Amino acid sequence: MAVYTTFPHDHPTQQIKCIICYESVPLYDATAGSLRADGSQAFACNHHLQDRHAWITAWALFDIEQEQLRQDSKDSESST
Amino acid sequence: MSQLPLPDWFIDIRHIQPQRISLDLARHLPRRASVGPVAVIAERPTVLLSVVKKRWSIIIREVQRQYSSTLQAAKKEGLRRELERLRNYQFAIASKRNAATNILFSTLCELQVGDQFATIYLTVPTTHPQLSALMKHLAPKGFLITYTSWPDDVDGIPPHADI
Repeated sequence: MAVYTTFPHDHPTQQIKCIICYESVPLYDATAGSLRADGSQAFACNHHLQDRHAWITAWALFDIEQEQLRQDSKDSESST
Repeated sequence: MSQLPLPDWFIDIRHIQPQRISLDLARHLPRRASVGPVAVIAERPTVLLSVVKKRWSIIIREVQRQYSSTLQAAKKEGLRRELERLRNYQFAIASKRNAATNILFSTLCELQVGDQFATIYLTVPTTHPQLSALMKHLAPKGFLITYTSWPDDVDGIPPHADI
């Protein structure tokens, strides 16, 4: 598996941080998941996809954390 | 670690045995369905939809099992919401789609003008013109995930074997 971006043309050495093991891995060793609270793309290492239990739990936790961050951000905006 | 540049799209080329595509799809789809509408391009969408839905049921049971066995409050809440999402996504083939459809299983030619997807899973080989037409349906910053060989004549994107 490999992730390429079309602009700028490919970053095979681009490093991303896995949301499951927090290791820094090249983009081509990663697979995309949902979005962070700030709208940026979150990734996990490809091999985590093989571990159904870890994959489900980690992303469920990640999503709820990001949702909380989004909510906190909305709350602070509305209080100012 | 450098920051990711903002891309037009992401392209994920996945080398997976054909018989494992539905498994990979079913595991990966929940993550991308939460981002926005998804299209799965297949030669026989009805057949693939049926297989993915069976796998989807297995995933729901797995999440239920994890939910039941966890005591940690945050994890439990995360899994509860995951369950809710998994149960609410609407799957459809092109002829039965409606406004509530989140995950569309379609052939290349059944997509409608104006269709925009956050993620497109491609399970059939395409020519360069077909791929160019398909990319018009991919929303900015969206993901094209392909399980097939990549046309070699696409400018700017290297053949997958090189990396």
